[in-house]
Amino acid sequence: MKIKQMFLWQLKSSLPAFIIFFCIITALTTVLTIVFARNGNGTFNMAAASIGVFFLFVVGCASFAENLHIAFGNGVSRRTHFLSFLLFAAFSSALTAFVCVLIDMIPSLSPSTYIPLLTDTPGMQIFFYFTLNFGFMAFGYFLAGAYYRMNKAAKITVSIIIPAAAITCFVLIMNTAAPVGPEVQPLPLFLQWMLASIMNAALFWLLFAALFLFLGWLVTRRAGIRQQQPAG
Amino acid sequence: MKIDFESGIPIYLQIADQIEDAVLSGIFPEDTQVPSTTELSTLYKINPATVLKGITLLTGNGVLYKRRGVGMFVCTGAKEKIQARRKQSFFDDYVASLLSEAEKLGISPDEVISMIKEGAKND
Amino acid sequence: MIEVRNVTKNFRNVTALRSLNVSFGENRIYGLLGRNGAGKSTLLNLMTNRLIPTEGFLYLDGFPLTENDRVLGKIFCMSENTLYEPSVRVERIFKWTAMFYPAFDTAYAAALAEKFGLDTRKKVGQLSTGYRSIFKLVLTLASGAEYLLFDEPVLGLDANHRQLFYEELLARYSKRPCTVILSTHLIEEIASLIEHVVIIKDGRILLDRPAEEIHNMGFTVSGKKDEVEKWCAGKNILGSQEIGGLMLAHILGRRSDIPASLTATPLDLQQLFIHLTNS
Repeated sequence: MKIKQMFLWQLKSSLPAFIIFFCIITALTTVLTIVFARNGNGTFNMAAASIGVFFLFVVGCASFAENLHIAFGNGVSRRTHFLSFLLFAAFSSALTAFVCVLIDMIPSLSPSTYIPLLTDTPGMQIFFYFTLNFGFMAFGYFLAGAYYRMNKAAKITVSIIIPAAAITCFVLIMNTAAPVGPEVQPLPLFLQWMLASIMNAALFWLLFAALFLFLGWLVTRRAGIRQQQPAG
Repeated sequence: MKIDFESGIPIYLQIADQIEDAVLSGIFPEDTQVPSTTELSTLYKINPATVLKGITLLTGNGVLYKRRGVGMFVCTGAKEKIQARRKQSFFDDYVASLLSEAEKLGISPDEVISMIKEGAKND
Repeated sequence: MIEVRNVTKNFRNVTALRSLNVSFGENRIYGLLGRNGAGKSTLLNLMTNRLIPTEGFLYLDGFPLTENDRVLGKIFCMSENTLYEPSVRVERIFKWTAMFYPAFDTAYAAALAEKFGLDTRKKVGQLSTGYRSIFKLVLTLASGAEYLLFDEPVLGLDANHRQLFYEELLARYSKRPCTVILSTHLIEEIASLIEHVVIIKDGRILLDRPAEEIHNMGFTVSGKKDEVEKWCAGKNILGSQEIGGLMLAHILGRRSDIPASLTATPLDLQQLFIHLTNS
């Protein structure tokens, strides 16, 4: 098994991106905190942890094809490639959650302009963002994998269906408070449960991660190299 | 030395012949080392197994011998051995084809003999 | 030894290989020949786990090869596609390869790069077609693997670099014996390098023989048209050409007594290949 090598490779090749991301967010948060503290009016919260989620989503998207090709080029199986992604996703999700929660503490140095986004303990926050990061990284990996496997027609279909589904979900979430027909009752109930506590939300994102990791494995299992196909 | 890939003669025989030629003309004197399989193989861009087959043929013929850990050397008396063997095949390789070509051109054997004598004089 | 047993590979609407059987023995140089689209790349990709067979199995020294890290580590394949991101520097890829292949010889890779004039500080995307081939050749030669697979190794290389590659390949092979599979269109150039020939046509093995035997496999007879035709009757004719009253016929089989009025010349690998694979 070459999990260690694959993990190290992912670490080495994406380390600059992580460092640059953390530096930019830290610098931005510091500068904005100082600006708000000087002005003395308004409140400020960077929500670095939420930005981190999107960053990891992009990392997840980029992880499929490039990693698979490195695996193919170096005699590494799909299984090892997938397991090493799993390991790397867990590691980078935890790291990003930890660093971003720390960065989000910078504005609290100026208590007069600071309103926290979450009131839970830092440990709880790190755990929550870890599950959120992990879920979105798995989601990104699956999307990239599905796109890699699809032919042109399927790509177009999916490109239409996914945004449509996302909008529908968004509308449903927005209408959670408003009573709707009994047939869609279970969904709003579930969403209400999810928003009830940070622990519930973390559990939800873990389930989300598990679902997309499973789907991710399905698209990885028999993925092949793209070669110029013989005509006819 | 030149290997002709289109002649239809197996490459290992060509290799063996060319080493013999080099021994006959004194390029490789007796009891000196000949190039290694690797050197010959990279020089002519020929599979080492093919070169080895040619060299093995020569060790069987008593032209080359192996010094363990050093390489292949020319046997003492190799030159005479090659000459003796080639004299035997001289008739088949040259005289027979000379006569058949002469027949096609309508040259009688007597005329051939006088041509040979003439050629030897001019040399 | 790599064994391919009853392997079929289907793509969406194309069958690339049809229950193919072939094996590649230890420490030999093989030539894998076939026309465009015959299935050479598909076969190489299956042997390196880059594709999964639709049917059948592949083994290396008796162990299943597909999805087997331990076994796959013995093979290094230079593929037609470049598997690296264009923004990565060549020297970095050398380091990465050394991580995956512990036997990778960094000093040898650097020496080879210098011989070929490959600037290792360049990014993969900045290399020309020829230098991209050279970069992949260097990587494969230095990988230290027991099985070196080359898919179109000399694509875009000039005559000097091609000669240098053949020399370096033989030097590497002599120093550390390994199994080499060369898949190429330039048959004449590799004819003397290879020990064994495998020809694929339409996803099937057409010919699988020691290169030496190729010399005796066929020949060309030429002479007056009616005489050639009369003599060729009942023989396995691969193809024929006519110029005026002169006729050339390419025959598959051993040369038997040919009348004096006809001339026979040997059929080399290139000609044999062309006549065998002409549809």
